[in-house]
Amino acid sequence: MIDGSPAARLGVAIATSPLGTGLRESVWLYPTVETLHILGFALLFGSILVVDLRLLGFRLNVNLGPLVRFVLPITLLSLLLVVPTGLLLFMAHATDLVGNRAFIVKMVLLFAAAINALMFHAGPYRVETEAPPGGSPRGSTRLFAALSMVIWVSVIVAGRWIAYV
Amino acid sequence: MTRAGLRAMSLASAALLLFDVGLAQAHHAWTEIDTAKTLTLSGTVKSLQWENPHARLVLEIVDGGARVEWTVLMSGLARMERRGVTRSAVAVGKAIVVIASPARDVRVVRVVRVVRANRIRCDGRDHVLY
Repeated sequence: MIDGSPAARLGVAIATSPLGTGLRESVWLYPTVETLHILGFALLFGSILVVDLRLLGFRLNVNLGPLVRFVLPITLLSLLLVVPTGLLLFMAHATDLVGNRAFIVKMVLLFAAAINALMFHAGPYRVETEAPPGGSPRGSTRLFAALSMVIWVSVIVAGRWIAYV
Repeated sequence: MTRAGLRAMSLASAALLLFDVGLAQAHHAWTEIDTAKTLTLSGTVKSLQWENPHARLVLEIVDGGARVEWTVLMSGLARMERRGVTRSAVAVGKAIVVIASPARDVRVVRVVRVVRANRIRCDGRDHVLY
């Protein structure tokens, strides 16, 4: 990141704001936000993985419709945990993060994961969830599921590397 | 799954794996600190960043008549407090002694003269951090 660029200045402004500074300087708030972020991500990744595996063709005896109706609310709940805490963690370290390669890659991957999920829901989602039990998922469905798994694992990897690049 | 689908999936996985390996060559946590070496730095706190996940300070020491600045990495705030290193004990202007381990490679840490504090002597007491 070039010092003095608009992004760099915005990063400094966010990180030095009372909220950004308060988050960093609090003994307990920072680890609490981190913990909730990880808890949210565990729910997010776990719930998505279960559906992805079924969409790939594992456990075809499990009916996809009821499975999705059970698991998708957990995924949405996890977003309520992971997004606000992620924004707070970003605020605490915005100065470094705006120029952090791993962070930028993670954001691009999150965008890719969202596009992949939206395209699946706009595409083969309905046919798959309404199909009678036992049938094989379509090729496009398996591709969406495989991409989802690869992208989300990469989100974890990129996220963890933020601290080390 | 279709043949084309499989091919696209393998390509995507391969690309992401290669990318992940590239990232893995970056430095990692305290592994960039050479804990086999220790040095004792005695000086005055010039600036302090009292923050999570790691507090840090700049220590000004007089080395053969020249003033030299060292960046001292410390632990997170919870450990700092539990081990007895308070914010006021390492405040700007305080004279402290840091027993520290240096970075293996300054290019990796991007700061010349950077150490991790293993022990800090401040306010007349010795506090073990790592």
